[in-house]
Amino acid sequence: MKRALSPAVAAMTLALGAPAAMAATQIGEHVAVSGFGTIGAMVTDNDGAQYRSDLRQSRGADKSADFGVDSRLGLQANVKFNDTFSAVGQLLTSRRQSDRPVVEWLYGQANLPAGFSLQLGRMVLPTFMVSDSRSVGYAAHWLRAPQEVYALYPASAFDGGQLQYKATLGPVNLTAQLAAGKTKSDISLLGTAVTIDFEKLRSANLLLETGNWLLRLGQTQAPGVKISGFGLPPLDDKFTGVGVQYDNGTLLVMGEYTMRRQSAPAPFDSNSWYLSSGWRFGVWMPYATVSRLTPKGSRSGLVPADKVSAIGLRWDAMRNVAIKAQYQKIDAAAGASYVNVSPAFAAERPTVNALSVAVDFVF
Amino acid sequence: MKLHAFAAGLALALGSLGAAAAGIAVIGHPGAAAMSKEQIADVYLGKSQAATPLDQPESAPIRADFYTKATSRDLAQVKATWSRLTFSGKGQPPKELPDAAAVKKAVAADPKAIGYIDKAAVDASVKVLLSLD
Repeated sequence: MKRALSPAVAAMTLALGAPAAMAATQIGEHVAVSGFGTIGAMVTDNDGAQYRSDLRQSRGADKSADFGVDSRLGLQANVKFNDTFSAVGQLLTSRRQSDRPVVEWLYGQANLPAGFSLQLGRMVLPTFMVSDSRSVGYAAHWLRAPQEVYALYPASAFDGGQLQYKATLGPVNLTAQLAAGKTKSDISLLGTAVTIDFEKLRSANLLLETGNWLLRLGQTQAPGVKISGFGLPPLDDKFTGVGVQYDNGTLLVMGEYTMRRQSAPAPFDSNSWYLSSGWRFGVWMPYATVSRLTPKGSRSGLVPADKVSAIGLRWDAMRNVAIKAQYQKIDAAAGASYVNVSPAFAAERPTVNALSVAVDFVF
Repeated sequence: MKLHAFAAGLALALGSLGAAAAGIAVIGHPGAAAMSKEQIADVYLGKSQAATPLDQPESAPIRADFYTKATSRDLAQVKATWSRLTFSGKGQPPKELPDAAAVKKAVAADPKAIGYIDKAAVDASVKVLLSLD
C-alpha cells in the first residue's frame, strides 16, 4: 500500500507546494521547466481480478480503492540553445514494473530548413493519435485513454531518431514523421513477467489538421520482436492506426481504429477501436466512450475480447486543475485489462463496474 | 426576484456588448500580410508555425475575449491544448507579455510576431492583420 501510494503522495506534495498561479517556469532565457500530474483513485465491484491502466502494471484496482492505477507525476525541461538546436527531457513517475522515476524522454532536436526537423535520443513512440500526451491527464477530456486501444502497445517511448516535416498547404497543416530505433518493455501478462524486446522499430505517421478536424494515419513495424515467457518465436509485428478528431470548442468527437498483425503463430493479432464524445458546458464536460477489442487470427487466448462503456465528467475546477470522475462497465477477461486474476474470475468472466476519480494538474 | 434576474442578465449582456464594442485588433509587423481568423486560430493553438504568437497576461480580460472570438475556446481549453503540445515536446505556449504596450513594441520589432490589443491602442508602429468584433 505504501509503495502504491508513493507516486500519488509525491504528486500531491508537489501540487500543493506549487503556487496555484505557477505555469511553465522560465529559468534564464533558454530553459523552461514545467510539469504535469494526476492523483487518481479507482475502485471496482469485484475482488477476483485487479484492473490496471498499463500492461506494465503488475497490480491494480479491486474492491479496495487503489491510488496507483492513474497517479503519476511528470517533470519536463525544455532547453533552447538557439533557433536551430533544442533539447527536451522528461522524468515520469508512475506505477510500472518498478515505481522508480524513469527517463521517459531525453532528446535533442535540430531544426532544419524547409520545415524539416531531426530528433535524436529517447522520445515518444507515435503509435496512437494521442500517444504524445497520454500521461498528461489535464490535456484530455477523459480520465484515461481507453485501454482496449491504448494498452495494445506495451512501450510508450523508444531510443533512436526521427525526421519530422511540417508544412501548411492552404487550410491544411500537415505533419509527417519517420522514426526508427528500438525499445524494450517489461510487462505483466497472464501472471507472468514478460520482457518484450523491439530490437528494430520503424514508424511512419501523418497528421492532417484543418479547422476543427484532425486526421491521423500511422504504422509502426517491428521485425523479430522477442517475447519472453511464452515459448514464442520472434514475431514480425505490424501495428496500424487511423484516428479522427473533431473539436469545435463545444462538441468533441474522436475515434481511433487500430490493427495488429504478426507473423505466425500471430497470438496477439487484434482489431480494436474506440469512439468518444463530450460536450462542454462552461467548466463542465460530460463525456461518453465506448471501446472494443476483437482478437483475430490464431486466438491463443493471449488477447481476449474486451468491451467497455464509460461515462464521465471533467470539471475545470480552477486554473491548471481539472477534476474528473468516470464510471466504466467492463466486459473483459484477463489479458490487457486485468492482472492478478483468480481462476474463478477467469472462468466466469463477469461484468465489472468501476469508478475512478482523478485530479489532473499542470504547472 | 424574476425581474432582478432579468435586470442582472441584461446588465451582463450590455456589459459584454460594451466590451465587444471596443473590438480587438490582431496586430503584426507593418510589413506583414493580413491573416484570416482560421490562420490566427491555428497559430494560437499551436497547429501552425506561420507566425510567433504573443499573449497578454491571464488576468487581462482581453485574453479570454480574444480566444473566445478567434478560436471559440475558453482559457482552460486553450491551456489543455498547449499542455498537450508542451508535454510532447512539440512547442511552447505563446510568450506572455505584461501589457498591450509591450505586445505592440514586440510586434513592431519582429516581422514574425503577432499579438492582440484593444483596437483603440493601435498606432502606426503596427499593422492590423485582422479585426475581431
